[in-house]
Amino acid sequence: MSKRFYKDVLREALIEEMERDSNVFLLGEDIEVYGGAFRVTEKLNEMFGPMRVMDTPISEQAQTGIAIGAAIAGKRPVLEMMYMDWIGLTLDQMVNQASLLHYVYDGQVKLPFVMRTQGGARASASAQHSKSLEAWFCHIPGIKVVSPSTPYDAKGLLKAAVRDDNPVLFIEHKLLYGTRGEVPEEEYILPIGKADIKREGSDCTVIATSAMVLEALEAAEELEKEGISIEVVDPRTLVPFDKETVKDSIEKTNHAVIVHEAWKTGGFGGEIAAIIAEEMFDSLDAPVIRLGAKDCPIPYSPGLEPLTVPNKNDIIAAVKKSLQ
Amino acid sequence: MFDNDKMKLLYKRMVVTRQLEYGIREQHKQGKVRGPVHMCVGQEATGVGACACLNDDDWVTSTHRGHAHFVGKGLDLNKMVAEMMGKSTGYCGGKASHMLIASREKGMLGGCGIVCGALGIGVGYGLTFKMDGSDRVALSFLGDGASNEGMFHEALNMAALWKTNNVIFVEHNMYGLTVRADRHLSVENISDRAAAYGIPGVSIDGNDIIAVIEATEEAVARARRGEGPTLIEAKTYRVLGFSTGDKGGYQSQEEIDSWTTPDKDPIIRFAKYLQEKGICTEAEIEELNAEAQSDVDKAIQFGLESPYPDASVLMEGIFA
Amino acid sequence: MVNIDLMVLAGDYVKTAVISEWKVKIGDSVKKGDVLLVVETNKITQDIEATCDGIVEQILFQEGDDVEISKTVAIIGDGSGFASAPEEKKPAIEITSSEAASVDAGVRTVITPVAKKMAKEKGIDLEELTKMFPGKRIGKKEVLAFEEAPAKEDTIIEKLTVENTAPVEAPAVPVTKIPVKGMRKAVATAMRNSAYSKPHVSMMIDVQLDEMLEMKAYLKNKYPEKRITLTGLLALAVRSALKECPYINGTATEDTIALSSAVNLGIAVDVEGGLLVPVIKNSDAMSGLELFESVNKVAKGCREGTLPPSDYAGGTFTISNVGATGVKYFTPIINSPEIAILGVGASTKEVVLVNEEVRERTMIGLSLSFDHAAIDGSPAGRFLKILKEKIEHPFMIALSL
Repeated sequence: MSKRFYKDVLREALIEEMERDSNVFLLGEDIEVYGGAFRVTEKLNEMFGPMRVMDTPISEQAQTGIAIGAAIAGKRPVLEMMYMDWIGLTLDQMVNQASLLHYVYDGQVKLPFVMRTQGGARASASAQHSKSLEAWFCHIPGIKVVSPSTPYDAKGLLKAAVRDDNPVLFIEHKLLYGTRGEVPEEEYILPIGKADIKREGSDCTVIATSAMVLEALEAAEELEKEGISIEVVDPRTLVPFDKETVKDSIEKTNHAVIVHEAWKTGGFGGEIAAIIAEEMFDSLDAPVIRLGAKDCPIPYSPGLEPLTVPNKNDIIAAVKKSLQ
Repeated sequence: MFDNDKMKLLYKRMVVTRQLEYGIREQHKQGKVRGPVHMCVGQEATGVGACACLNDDDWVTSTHRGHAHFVGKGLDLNKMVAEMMGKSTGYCGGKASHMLIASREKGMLGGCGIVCGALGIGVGYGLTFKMDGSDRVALSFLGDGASNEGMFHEALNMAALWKTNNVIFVEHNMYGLTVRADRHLSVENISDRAAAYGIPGVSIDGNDIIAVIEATEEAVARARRGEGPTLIEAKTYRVLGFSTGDKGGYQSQEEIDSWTTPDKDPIIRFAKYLQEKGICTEAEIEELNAEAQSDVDKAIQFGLESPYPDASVLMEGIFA
Repeated sequence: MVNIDLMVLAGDYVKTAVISEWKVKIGDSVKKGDVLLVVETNKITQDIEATCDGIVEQILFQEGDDVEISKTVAIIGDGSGFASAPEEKKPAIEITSSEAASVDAGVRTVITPVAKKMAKEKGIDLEELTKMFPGKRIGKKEVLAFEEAPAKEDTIIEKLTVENTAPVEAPAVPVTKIPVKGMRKAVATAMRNSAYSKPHVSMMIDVQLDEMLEMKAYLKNKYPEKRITLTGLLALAVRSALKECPYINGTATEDTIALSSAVNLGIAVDVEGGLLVPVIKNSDAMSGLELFESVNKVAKGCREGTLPPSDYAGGTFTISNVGATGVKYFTPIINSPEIAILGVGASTKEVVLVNEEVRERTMIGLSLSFDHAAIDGSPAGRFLKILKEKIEHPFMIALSL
């Protein structure tokens, strides 16, 4: 075990998978020579050569189509979509091809490809470079959506995503790349579709994703001082969603607060809240509370941007409201 | 050029395609085939001719108007019609519809209902074949309307850049849905656009199957040699309108008539060619016509008698 | 699954019984005939037995609850039905949070989902639960508090209110809290029902006891083996007066006054922990000596607890003798649903004027409380006057038909 950076262990995962299976190759903008906008693919071109680490022109729609075609033809491409804000350009290929060809062609083709992307605010990257758009893809059957919050989860889940025979949208976070965490030296893999309890507690369940997991853990520390114990549940995978872990937690605590960076309206938190209301109603001692970014485009100013996405104080207030 | 047997087969396939379209149209009127069906009457030469230049392990991406491509690639007629009727015996178990037919065995991967939607995928095939060091080729059909999509530009740029094993075959049938080409294309010849990507582009008479075969063979050979993609623009005409739901009125009868004369109609021209070359007698032509009709009738019967898929398959196969 | 219903043989007018003790708990295995619980009314104590073998799956009322006769109080099954609720004859557990009784008019009580589930599992009546926390949202905490509560109402509300507000100084004087349960509760309920449903008027009169005491002395001499009591002798006079005043011999409800042709005389008896009123049925059909016997018998049987429940039912008039306390007059509470009750006070030697001369006489106070909704003052007073004459001049009893 050692403390390593989130971005570095992603790179480790790619190296391990590319060494293991020669069909794995990488494509995306600035990943080959430059080593990736976030350094995740640094020097991989030197290790694997230009046929396995490929810079692409700025053509997101065709990049996606090519990744889909290569996957059908037997490769395992990992496409880097530099900013989630541009993922709209890939939507037709994802929604009209990737998600459904396996189903509609009645199993004649498999699409084992990963689209790695990153999102998130509070980096002064402005409105077109700060979004969290996972909700769009959670809505489309046939695409798996994964969102790791720690280096340990990131490495294990990226390996799982590469080995999965389905399209996987793998969502990183620009502020998580530089975080460090304990990661084993030996190889390991984590299951897609299984949540993780980041912190056990008894009074309130806080379901948090991506960078909000860190906020929730900080909130937990402060609440502990006031004698309130929260259980932080990190779904890790949004689709398919681990209902069992959430259910066990809510049966224990009877209170639920959901927090994500995506906008509150239409965010995936609404789906989680509905699942809880439909399937775990009898365990609730208070209404489910959702926290998400305020429903406004993300402004640039350092005086405004921090006001948009939830933070630990919002989580603390929500937990207290739930318990009152 | 191909041997006589193959030439006869190609003729029969053209007739099968045409009879299939009329047969399906009839079934559609009776409610046995539902949803909009996009027929390719008048475009038999391009699909049958181009696919004839490919092996089973060369892959094709098609369009929403792909019946000639399916027949040309040698797909089983029964399974095609069953799929069009949504039956469980269809190529895709009834899940696909006429637009999304696929057969991995025959290298038809596959039908696509999004304009230009499959071109990127086709380039993905071509890239993979190149990466694997094989001489397999991916041929992508698209229409004149599709050449205006962003995907066209993006995909051709990358295919050209990486010299992928691709042939890009544009069936210019003069209409993008209801809008005639002179009102949607900024150029007269789509093949001119090839220059933008530094690849060869050629315009041919798409109703002349010989021309189609010659151009395609050359493009396929080039791709097999690893020299990269070629853009073929085949000028043809869409006789029956956009789909079964088209209320028409924008293709003048005059225009339609001008494309269905004996010297324009692709089947009549090929029949004439075969007889002139001594490959077929008139009687053999008639025989091939009858066989084609019979095959189509049998396929329609097969489709009508096949069952719908069981409800239990609804939620299967969403994930591999 | 078998419903155990509260079948209490306490007579027409006993509507409810109080659960004084559960002998089993949920999960216990029982055999037919095992006593499941003990209930009390203001007249009797009765065991409720299991009507079949099985496992106690649900207990629907708690000790101290007032339960309507014939309601299901428990369910015995094969052990699989713990989670499900009984069918039609169900208590108020079906009330959803939007219908739950609220103490303040117009205030809706909210019960959280987990609280509802817990209440159902524990067999807690939602109406009772919401009554305990008027105006409050009922959550898991409140259900747990209800479970632990030994008694209802004020003590619990006080306790929780204190916990939820800023700390208050503890009272300086230690207080003994006695839960109102069992016979106390049964009597309390009966007294409240009578006092609040019948407008009571009490009339007092002084009566000379001397001649009756002479009669008593004579009878004691003649029948030394018999126990001749003042109550017995008074009963003789009372039944005679009641026969002459039929309008005061019977029962009355809001809608109906039922006058009886028989005099079923209730004799109030002090017992440990409370008050019981056994009834001498058809007292007017007995001889005098039989009447004296009956009075003694019911008093004894009542104190020993050997009287069947039916002996507490059907009374038309009650005599309540508090003379032992020294009290002269009081305002007795009618043994509902009867029309009137005669309270008898202590007898004392007093100086009275007889034919303008001062004489010593033994005087006794009689206090008649009557239901003014059923009869008026004049008739009530006339009864008392007739009764007085029969006590002061016992031979007048012999003149009655």
